[in-house]
Amino acid sequence: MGKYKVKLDFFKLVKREIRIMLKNFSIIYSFSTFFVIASLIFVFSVNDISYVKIFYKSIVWIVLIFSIMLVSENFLNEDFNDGSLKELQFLGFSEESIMVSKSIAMLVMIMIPMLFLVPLVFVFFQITLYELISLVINLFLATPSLTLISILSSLFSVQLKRNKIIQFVIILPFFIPMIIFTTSTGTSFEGYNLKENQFLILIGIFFITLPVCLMAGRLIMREINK
Amino acid sequence: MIFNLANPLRFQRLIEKIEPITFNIAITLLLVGLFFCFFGSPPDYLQGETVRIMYIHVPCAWFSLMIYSIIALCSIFSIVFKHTLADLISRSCAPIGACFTLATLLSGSIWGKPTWGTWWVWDARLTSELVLLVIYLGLIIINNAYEDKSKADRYSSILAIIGIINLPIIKWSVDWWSTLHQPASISKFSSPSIDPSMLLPLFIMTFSFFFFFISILLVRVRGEIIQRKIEVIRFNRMV
Amino acid sequence: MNYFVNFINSGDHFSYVLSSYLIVFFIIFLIFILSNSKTKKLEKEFVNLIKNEEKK
Repeated sequence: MGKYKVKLDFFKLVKREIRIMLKNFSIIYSFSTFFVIASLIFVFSVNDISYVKIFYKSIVWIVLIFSIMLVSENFLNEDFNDGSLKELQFLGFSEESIMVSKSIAMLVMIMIPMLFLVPLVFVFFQITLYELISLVINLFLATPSLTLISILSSLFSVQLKRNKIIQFVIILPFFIPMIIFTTSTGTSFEGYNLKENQFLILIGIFFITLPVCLMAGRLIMREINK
Repeated sequence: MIFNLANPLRFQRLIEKIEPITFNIAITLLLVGLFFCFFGSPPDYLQGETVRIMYIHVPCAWFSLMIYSIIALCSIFSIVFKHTLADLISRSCAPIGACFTLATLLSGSIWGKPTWGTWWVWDARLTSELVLLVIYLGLIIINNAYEDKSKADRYSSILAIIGIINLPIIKWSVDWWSTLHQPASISKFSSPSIDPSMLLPLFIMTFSFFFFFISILLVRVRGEIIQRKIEVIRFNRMV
Repeated sequence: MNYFVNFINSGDHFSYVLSSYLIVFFIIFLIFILSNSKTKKLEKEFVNLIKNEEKK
């Protein structure tokens, strides 16, 4: 019975996070706007569209990483400042469940606008349909790890005044392997050769990131509430 | 004996005795090592005279990894046992490790120009070593970002533990990916593929760098202990 | 000695080796000197603090 109750509580927590996120619609709006404007800036800065076609994957990923980093602050700072982070722990939710629920809410928040924004990328960067499909698979496989890492980074900097720059410096090195593997995937997909693709590496990275981030998140949350 | 030294004050007294000895040993070994580097070792049949860069590049690379391992070990020790000395050592190690990593990258880059024809390639080992440097910089920043030192120590310990993932990647990158960087010539499990006349200066330089590392570490740990004492005195005055 | 003479006459390679040695030793000695000066400064500060405490 107790086991089911815990499960139910976890879903309640996820529901709470998603409800809060949907109430703050401005976050989704600002995320989408930032994504579009930043991609446009890249397009304008390159001038020649043939280069954009080559670098579209890098552009999308860089813009996505920065927009996720900017948004992640909202998920934790408010909870930390109004004391609800402490309250949730006090109510008996484990640190891991709080972190996972926040990541799920953030994932939903990123994925909903991305569904509408990806066709825009298709049009802006003039890529082929196969490239688009490979990009979407990439996004779905790599965004969970990205959200986990960015939530961890905002946990690191939640008690700092000049937190944004430190958040970036601390956590950007951990995005390097993600960027390397996300931008290198999909090239073999164009030839329908799914055997050699590196999508599995992204899944592997997620299974490394998940336990590490949960463990580190637990340690930091305990430290924050001391 | 070890638990006896775990007290920072006793450790400080020990440091004051050992510090000049380690520095003198480091300088002596350095001079002997330099003699063997330039006078006692032949040029490589393939790389020519540039192989002499190996005598400083390889020890620096070893120490960049070893110092991170020490930081990670101290971090685990600090999180599990909450011991101040572990915090002090990991805090003091971070800038030294960053310097050794920078030295590795720069000397490697200079070695790369005549042998590979380029200063830098985006090869797995070079990239992972660069990531290590960035992680070191992150640790230094986090150590100085918080006003509450114990909080900074705790956060930097967590970051150091996350960064352990990078160590096996650096070590085995040359085996996992087909890279431009040559694989390790000296292994614990097989006989080294280097001539003894080249092995001798390499090991002397390694020991010299080791004693340099120890002496710098001791100086920094002493500084950290004094800083904590100053903070305690100031805090008491405020109360 | 032969090795050293050949090394000095190696032209381009000599400058690469020398510059790498100089850079590495510069970095290591720099961190050593910086650490030493920082510790000495702290020691001075500590001694002053102790003196002030005793006066009080």
